[in-house]
Amino acid sequence: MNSKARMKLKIKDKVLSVKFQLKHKMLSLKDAKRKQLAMDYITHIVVKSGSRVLFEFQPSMFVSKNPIFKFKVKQKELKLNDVLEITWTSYLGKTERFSKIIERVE
Amino acid sequence: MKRRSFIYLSALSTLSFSSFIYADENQSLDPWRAVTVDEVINAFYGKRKIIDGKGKIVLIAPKLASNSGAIPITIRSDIETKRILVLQDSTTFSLIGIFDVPKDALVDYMLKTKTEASALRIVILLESTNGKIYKIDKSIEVAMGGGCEG
Repeated sequence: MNSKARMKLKIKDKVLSVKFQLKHKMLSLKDAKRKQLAMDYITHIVVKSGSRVLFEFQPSMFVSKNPIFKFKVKQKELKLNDVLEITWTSYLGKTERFSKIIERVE
Repeated sequence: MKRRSFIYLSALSTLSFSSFIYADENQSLDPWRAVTVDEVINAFYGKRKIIDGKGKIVLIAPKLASNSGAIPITIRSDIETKRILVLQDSTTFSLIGIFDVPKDALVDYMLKTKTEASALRIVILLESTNGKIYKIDKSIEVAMGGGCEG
């Protein structure tokens, strides 16, 4: 995965389905000790469209490396060319963002 | 008589004080540092009634996971949900994560967890918008040699 994240979006039958993957080592306490690195994992993930929160998750250090998530929300006001933005914060305090446009509505 | 009632009263006050400390300890327990599933449940919900979620929550996970570094877990439900706790009993700390379910979201989530153990039990706690708590669990065997890289 070259990019820091990737995301697939699909609106079908008035439901938005999202699958996304974040690029992160998700180093747990044990892994960090073993690799002699600082413990670092994602502690908060939010997916938004404008001000509407679509997905919110607080992972622990026991979520897999380069974590993948799937979720579904009702379409409501979401339409073609709307932007979805993922924001994630790590244990070491680094915040990153990734956004994608809804390109297809079936 | 006075002496006897004094002893009785002091014993009673010591007992209630210790139970107060115990309750306070439970409330201040950090769920992220809780070792067992029961400790996490206690930290979040105390002694609230937990309903069996069979038939109301669908938990999809493999019976035998081939890769211990990425074990897929899918959670589905029709219940209007406020929060979902994902727990397991094989790692140092029990909590895998917390989904804060927004309004208009459908309860259909997938995530991947990791473990170093050869078997684990996934526990899902679903808190509905009307305050009811549902619980469901599933045991998973992990194939040897799968490796937990993460």
